[in-house]
Amino acid sequence: MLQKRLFLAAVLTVASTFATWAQTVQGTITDATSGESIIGATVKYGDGKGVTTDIDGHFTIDVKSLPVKLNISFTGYRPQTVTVYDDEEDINVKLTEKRSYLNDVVVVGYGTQSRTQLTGSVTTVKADVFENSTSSTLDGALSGQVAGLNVTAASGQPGAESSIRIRGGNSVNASNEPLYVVDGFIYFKDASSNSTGLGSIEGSLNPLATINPNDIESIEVLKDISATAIYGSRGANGVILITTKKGKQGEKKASINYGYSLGFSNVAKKLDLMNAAEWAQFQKTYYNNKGGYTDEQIAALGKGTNWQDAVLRTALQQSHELSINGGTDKGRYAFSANYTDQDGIILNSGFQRYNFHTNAEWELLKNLKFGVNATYGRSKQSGLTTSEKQVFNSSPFSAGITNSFVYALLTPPVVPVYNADGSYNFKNPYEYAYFAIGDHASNAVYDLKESVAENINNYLLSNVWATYKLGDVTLKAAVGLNSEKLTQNYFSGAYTSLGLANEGIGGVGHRQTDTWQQEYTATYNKDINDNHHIDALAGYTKQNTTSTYSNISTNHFTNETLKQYNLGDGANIYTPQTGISESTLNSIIARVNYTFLDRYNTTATFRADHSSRFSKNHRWGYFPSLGLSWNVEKEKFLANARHLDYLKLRLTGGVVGNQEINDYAFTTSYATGSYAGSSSYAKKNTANDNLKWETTASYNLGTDLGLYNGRLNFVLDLYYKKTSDLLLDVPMGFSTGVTSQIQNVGNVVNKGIEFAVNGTLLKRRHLNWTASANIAHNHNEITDMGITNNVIQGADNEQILRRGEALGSFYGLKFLGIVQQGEDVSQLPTINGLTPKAGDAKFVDANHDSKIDGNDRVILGSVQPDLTYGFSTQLQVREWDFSATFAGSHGAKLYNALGRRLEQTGDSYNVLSTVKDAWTAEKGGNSLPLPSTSRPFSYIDSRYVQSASYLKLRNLTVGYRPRLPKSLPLSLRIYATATNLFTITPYKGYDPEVSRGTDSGAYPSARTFTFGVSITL
Amino acid sequence: MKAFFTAIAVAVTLTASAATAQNDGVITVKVNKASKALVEKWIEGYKAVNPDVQIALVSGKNADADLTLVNQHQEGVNVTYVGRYALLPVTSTENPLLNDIQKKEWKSKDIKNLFFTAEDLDEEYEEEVEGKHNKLKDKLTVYSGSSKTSLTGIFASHFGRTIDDLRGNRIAGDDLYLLSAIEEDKASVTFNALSNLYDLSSRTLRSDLALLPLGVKASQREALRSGNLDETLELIENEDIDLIPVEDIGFTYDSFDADIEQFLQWIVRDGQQYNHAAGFLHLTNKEVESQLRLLAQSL
Repeated sequence: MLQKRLFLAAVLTVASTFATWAQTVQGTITDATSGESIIGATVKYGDGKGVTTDIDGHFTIDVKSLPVKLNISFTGYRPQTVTVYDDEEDINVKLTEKRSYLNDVVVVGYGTQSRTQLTGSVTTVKADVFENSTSSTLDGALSGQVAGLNVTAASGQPGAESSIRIRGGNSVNASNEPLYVVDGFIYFKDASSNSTGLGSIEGSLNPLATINPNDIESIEVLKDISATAIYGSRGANGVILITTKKGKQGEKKASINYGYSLGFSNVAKKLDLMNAAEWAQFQKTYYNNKGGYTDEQIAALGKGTNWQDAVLRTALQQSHELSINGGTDKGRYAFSANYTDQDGIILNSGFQRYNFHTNAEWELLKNLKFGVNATYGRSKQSGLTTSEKQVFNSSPFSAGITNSFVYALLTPPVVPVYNADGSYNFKNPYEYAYFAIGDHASNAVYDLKESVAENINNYLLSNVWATYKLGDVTLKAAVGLNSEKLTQNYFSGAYTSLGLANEGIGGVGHRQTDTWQQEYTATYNKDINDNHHIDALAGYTKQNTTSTYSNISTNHFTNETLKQYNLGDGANIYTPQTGISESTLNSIIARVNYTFLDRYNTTATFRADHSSRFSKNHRWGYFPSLGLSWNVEKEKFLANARHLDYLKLRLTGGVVGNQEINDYAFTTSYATGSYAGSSSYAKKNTANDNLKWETTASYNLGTDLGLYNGRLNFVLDLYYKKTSDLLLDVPMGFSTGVTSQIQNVGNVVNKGIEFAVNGTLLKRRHLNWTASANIAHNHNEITDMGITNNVIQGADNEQILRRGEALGSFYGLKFLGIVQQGEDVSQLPTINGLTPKAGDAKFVDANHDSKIDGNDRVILGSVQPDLTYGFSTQLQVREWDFSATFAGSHGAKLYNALGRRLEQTGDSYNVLSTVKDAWTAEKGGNSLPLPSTSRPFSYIDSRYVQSASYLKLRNLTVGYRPRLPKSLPLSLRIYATATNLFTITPYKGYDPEVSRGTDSGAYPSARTFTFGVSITL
Repeated sequence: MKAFFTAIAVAVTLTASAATAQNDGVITVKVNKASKALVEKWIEGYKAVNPDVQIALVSGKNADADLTLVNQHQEGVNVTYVGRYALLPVTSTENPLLNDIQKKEWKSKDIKNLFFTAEDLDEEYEEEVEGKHNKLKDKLTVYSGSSKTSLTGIFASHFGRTIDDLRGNRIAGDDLYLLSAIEEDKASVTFNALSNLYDLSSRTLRSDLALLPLGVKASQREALRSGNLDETLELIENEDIDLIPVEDIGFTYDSFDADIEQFLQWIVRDGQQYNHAAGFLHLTNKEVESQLRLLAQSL
């Protein structure tokens, strides 16, 4: 009986339990766009009950009865209410991300952050910018896209590096380049890693050539201290975070894309040089008519040889792209391969690249993820030979002639390229200075075609990482290796300019640079009720870099067939050079983001770096920052602002550093050489026990404003940066045994304002027109130089470092015009002790001492632009798309050394056509003096410090996506792009964009037309 | 205890034999709630002329069947289309905003504005609807379905949007429950198939529902306003009305035999007479011809 009662009781208990929880409802929460599971989404039901989704985005709840209302939410997504009426199917809820600007998730250092919670100044550049650009490196596509980011191409050489400045330059001798971080891993190349010590090769490979722009999903430019402080000693010049394209978890159908483009380039601008008849007449008029031409013969010469055209060409380029990405239930993958082959517009120059990139990640176990990122590739740049920065006793490339391209411009047009039998012409009776031995003169076309100047880089950028989620804490470990092997090949045969004096010279150099990085971080992410959000990060990172190099050169060749591959043929061997340098950087990082009421945000960051590049007592640097932001639109007093989407105010301050100087600058070092047949040592550097970080204190006040449902967005920033303890190469006294030493001297201040706006101008069903514009002003000033004020720099002493002036200030005489016939010269200051006569140049007597000399030099402007700006627009009309990108700069100056050389008259070299307007007694003239073989001064003057202001149409693209039959499971886009279609500039040289501020004959920029097709399966 | 295990063994054997019997000469058909009445009529009609055939309806998320009814076009599977349905936007007669709703003629852009998120809207329209219409939108909750068999995707794609673009709340379960949702939450709108909106017995619109007045021609408006199912069906079959999503229903199958072929042929050729009764549209003559031709080729 008792047993029966117990049984009955048990049955009733079970029955009542089932009666209480009669239904089990289960489902999955996924991202509507990516299809990825959303982990940690909240599912609330009944009277405040709730569960969160597991690692698969899955949830299960027991309810008394149906229907039941589920309220599903997750940060950054639109919440959704689902009423469950029956349980015949599992519930699959797709949450859609809030698409407003502020709800974007932004990549920041060591993580991501909702833009709502951001305190720093971060600008995002999306993939379409890189897809529309045909540039082979990402810097070419970035120009004009970001307020305060100024990209200046070093030259038009394919694959050449650019100078990128974020909010002006801070430093004199340390690097001013921003830090690059690719998929979370730091990618930074020291300037020295671009050279094997071989020399003689103009230009160097762009460090960014290792990254294929088509692999980029987005770029985040971190500009202010709150965003960059987490990179501490590396953050002073701003940080560019590159995120590559990834597959989508759960998207089992692979997306396959193939693209092919074919294009051609021509020089964007040609210089107007004298033709043969003009030059011969000029020689006859002013010089000794070395050619002995009669007037009839001169008239018959006509245009003669256009050496500029002879060394320039229409260059072809092509590119193949293949990308495959997709996912599985537990992972995702992306793979891409790229081949780029770009001929340069100067003979025998060009750029080739093979690039393979992959990233993949897997969920190995619940809460455990593992991923791999790897890029392997090979870049080859064929450039020009140069003797810049090289000192040869018999250097042919001097007197402002930097390479064979410049020499082509200087070669008299009466001299032919080829002899009548088609062989190269090596006779040039006008050449007697540097480029001829006996009756054998160099020929620029032969030089370019036969010389070798190659940079070949084999690179592997790789890292593996794993994350483990432990409740609200995510642990991450990552290890990576960036390994680059640079090979430089150089050869100038006996008939080339550089080889003339040595009967051929050649060499090879190698540099192997391996950088190991380790990162160990823990992040804590927690919402505490609806009012508090905390996101904290702590970690340790370590970087070890080892760089070894070797090079060997020989000369005096008897057989040039194998060029640099048969150096043993060279009878004389230069002292081989080998070397190694090692550096380490250990860092502790910490950051806390706290958001209260979704309105008030704080970011506190701290980084401590220990760098081997500084003296023992100064290796630790401490870099704190604090950022505050206020989402004003969420305040009650703006609740009725109908068209206001968001209004954010940001205020940040802190300190970052710069350690980008050569290794061992703090210690005494010696360089080996040879002397009288034996080895020798010479002091290279003298110890500086006080060498420490260059630090930049930075403050930023900014606001973000969005109106009309995301249709109009504004960003305004004001900033002030003061860089102290500049790493400056200070001239040293003779007794030290060295000419200079890196010391911490002086301060530089950058202050400025940036404004950016983007908007949707038209939005129709089949028409979408968007536009964005940005403009930035930066004021750069050296506020302290210690005792080293007035440091003159440059090959022509054209720049000066002076307190109160900007970095890169030009220093020279101020040109006043030409002394005219009948002018009262008695009041003119003397030049070299002589009173100027008619036809001489006049200069401003700045110190009023009635004579013109070096003390009359004044500041003639600087390389710092007053304004940089960009404008871009995209228009989509049905199947057609159009885009245009403009970039501009205003107020910067550029020293036109090439123009100065080409207006220097003499009896050897060709000159610009402007020389025809030089002063003569008959017709006067006020720009160029009476032709003469000599200059009164070596100092530069204001005629050649020219405005580098420009407005360029960087990119104009037209694309078409034809509607294909549904039976064809692919999409197709064909497009045409014009790059550098026009440049509006007062600059008189080839191109106002020359990064170092001196245009000594930089590789001219090209205008490129590209046609392409992109197929997606 | 022994008896207990014996009972279980017997039950398992009986279940297994029943399952075996189902596959033996019986055509199994899987349907959803919305189409169940129509399929039952087809089976009834087909059995009337083929009394020996055995056809069984199955349901449930794990059920397998010879034929599975689908409510949209399918790619890469064997499918025979057997009818059509139409979707209309609807609200509750007890909706406090009913007067405002009924004052308006709902054109395509109005429906898009009401049902979908504003991000992709035409800017001219945004300017036009500034003010009272948007206020109406703000006060109305949209209900849509999230189950695999829901017609929500058909409705969204007809207006050039996706399911993810729909505003408001979702339900899990058959689309019939969308009407339950708007009954509970009066200030709301949804859409549904005619078979759910109309009382199939009285052939009139359910008394608790009110259609959103569509911005169509006057004659078409009259037919819709009549609340009469047959007039509505006739209108949609005879006239191409851009505002009304119309989609095919069909049967998918993995394997195919003569019995299945004959049953499907009968539905396409003769079974159409039952479609209206269940609130569905006939196939067009062109579709009938093409489906019969495909069926003849399939065997």
